[in-house]
Amino acid sequence: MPILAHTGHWAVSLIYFSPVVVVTGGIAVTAWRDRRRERREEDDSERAA
Amino acid sequence: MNRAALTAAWTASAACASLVAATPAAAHGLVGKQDLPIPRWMFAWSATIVLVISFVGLAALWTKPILVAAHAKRVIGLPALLDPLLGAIGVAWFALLIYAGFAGSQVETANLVPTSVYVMFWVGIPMLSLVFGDVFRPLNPWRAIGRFTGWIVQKAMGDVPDPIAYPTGLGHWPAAIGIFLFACLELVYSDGTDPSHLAALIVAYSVVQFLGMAIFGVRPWCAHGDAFGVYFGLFATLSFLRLSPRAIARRVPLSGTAQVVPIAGTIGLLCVMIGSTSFDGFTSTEVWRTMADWLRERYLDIGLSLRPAVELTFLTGLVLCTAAISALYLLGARGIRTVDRTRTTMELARKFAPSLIPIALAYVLAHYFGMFAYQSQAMAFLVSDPLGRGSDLFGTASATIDYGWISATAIWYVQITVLVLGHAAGLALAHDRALELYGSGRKATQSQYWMLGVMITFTCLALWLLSNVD
Repeated sequence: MPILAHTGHWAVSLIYFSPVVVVTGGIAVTAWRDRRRERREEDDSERAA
Repeated sequence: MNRAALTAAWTASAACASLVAATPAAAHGLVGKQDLPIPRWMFAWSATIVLVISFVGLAALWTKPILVAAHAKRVIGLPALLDPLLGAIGVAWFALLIYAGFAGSQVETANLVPTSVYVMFWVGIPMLSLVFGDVFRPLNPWRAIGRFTGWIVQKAMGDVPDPIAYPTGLGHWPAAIGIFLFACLELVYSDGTDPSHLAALIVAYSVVQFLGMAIFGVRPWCAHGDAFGVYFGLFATLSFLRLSPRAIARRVPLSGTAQVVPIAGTIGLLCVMIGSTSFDGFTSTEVWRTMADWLRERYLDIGLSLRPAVELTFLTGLVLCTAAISALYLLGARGIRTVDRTRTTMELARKFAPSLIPIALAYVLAHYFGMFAYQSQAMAFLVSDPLGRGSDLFGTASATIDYGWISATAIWYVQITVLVLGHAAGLALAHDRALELYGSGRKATQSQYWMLGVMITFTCLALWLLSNVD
């Protein structure tokens, strides 16, 4: 496909999307931590009960 | 204000300052965007920082829903005659456009119609709507004609049968289709700026409007099916003024948008609005050029001649862009399900749909501000010579466009400011809706993690698209 043959012409514009990659990574980590903390809190409250 | 919030506020201010502090090149003539003090891609980082800090600030400072219950306060009453008078002005302008389109010069820059439709109507009215509220509603020629006809019929026939109830399932779909077709006219159809074609399409659109009004009634049709009435009406909700036939009221900023009740087709309409503007920018990119070459060759291979092959190529691009924007938004809505398993992705997408309204407006303003800044000046000579036949009705036929009044650098700063403000407004609306749905600030914030990702993607996408337009 020509679009792949011309990758060099447009790949440089991917730099505009670098914040998206960083923020998405940050969101994924934060969401995972939140879920883990909530699970731990649920376990603690069950144990206390 | 707690320490985290204070830090967030200061950092946001610093990031905002980094967006605008660079001195634009002296305002003499057109100045290239290359005069910017930092590479354009770095603005994507600055905008991202502003949005992330805004998100943190919202989480820390905005702990109760305030927009949904906010009330508008009446500022001034309006005479009853104003609404029909504005309607008459709208009808007169509408008639002039149709006449100019058919009877005037077919040179697009000499005829009143293309500039009126693509510059003043498509871009100018959203700007006016943002400031003054729904200015199109009283000026709407189809509504004015529909109301006047209804009044005449009632006077002549006495009791007229009630119109058919507007189907709930139809919702905003007629408006979404109408805006999509307008985008096709602008971006796909090869003769989209031809004055007589535009006039014929205005007539065709009018026929559909009058049929809709005759079947469902003027008010329900204008509120749901009139593509432009709905399109401008959604933007008008962002204004701090609420314009109604008998009064002007002021309201809490964004409260009008938060009170929009999304119905069937609202998401489709908003995605078409953002997708079509994105595609307009996308057509300037190298990615599109190589894609378009490839697609056009495939369409030629199946036996199409050049013109349909080119138009089908652009139609494919428009559909793909709209689909990509829809998929991105649904991904954000899907993310909300991490804290809300009781609702489906589509239900959540609909609940949060008003947050797309400021983004759609930001896209329109950012993408077309440059064109508007210059091309709107053409109205000075077009109103004096609407047919392009050499008349000089108001003595302004010899006016010209001043390309030096604003530099390209200044336009760039306006564009990024609008984009950042639009997306920050989208975040605020989504946050307020999350607080309304989930009560607790923590859960509301967690529900918006992925929506933040979507907003940042929209912002970076818009900046990338703008960076390709020279």
